Amino acid sequence: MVLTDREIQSAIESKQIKIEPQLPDPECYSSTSLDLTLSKFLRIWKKSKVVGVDQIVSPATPGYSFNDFSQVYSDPHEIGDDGFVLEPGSFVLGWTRETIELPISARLAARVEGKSSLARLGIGIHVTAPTIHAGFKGPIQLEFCNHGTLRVRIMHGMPVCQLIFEQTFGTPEKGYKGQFFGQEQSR
Amino acid sequence: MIKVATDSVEDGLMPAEKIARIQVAGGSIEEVAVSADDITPDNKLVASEIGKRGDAVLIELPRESASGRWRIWVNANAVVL
Repeated sequence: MVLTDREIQSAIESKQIKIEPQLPDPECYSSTSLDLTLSKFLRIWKKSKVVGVDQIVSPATPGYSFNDFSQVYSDPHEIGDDGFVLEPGSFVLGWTRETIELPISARLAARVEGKSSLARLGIGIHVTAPTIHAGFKGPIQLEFCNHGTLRVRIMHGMPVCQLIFEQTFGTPEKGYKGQFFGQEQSR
Repeated sequence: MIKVATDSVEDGLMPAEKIARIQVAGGSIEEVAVSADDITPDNKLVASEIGKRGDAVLIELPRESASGRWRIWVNANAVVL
């Protein structure tokens, strides 16, 4: 069941959805979603500069470390006041300015989705991983991809994605364990 | 919630993120990018206990690991209540 704007506001007021650093402005809501904004932090993947050399990532390899890989093959970037231009075909990691927490007891999960204002320019903000699981805490990572033919400038603080909140059916195992931690339960 | 010993904790790709490495029961290492709030001052990872089997505890990580796993078995002695 998807939450409406009134239910999202109610969940925020009752701390079932926690958002920092500030409560969303009224204009951040639509009937069934809440807009989030872009932080200034980006991570930009490097391209091989050596002719004839291809980078191949093998995440299924035992011992593979995304962190080790990303430290070598990506650069941190802070979006300045003049924004950041997403070139056609580029792929960049970003994050929302807001930190979201969905307490496990709230029986809520969410999906992060793009906004049509960016989508119509060819900008996608996730790559098939939109689920914000019950219990999630933190800023939301965005996977920017410019599928279009235009150079598109993004600015920190701009509405960049929307969250659609859904009620879960029941409490996940980890919430159950936490709720009754230390007790013997017969289920 | 429980706290799980880590092999290492490093800064993540942005300031609010940390990278934790956890030893899985059996010896391999699982790497997960988490919120900095999920790391305690003594570098333990806050996670959820799902079940137990012998000397191993099944935990759910706060986020999906680099290898694509949410739930991993860790040695019980790596878990702090």
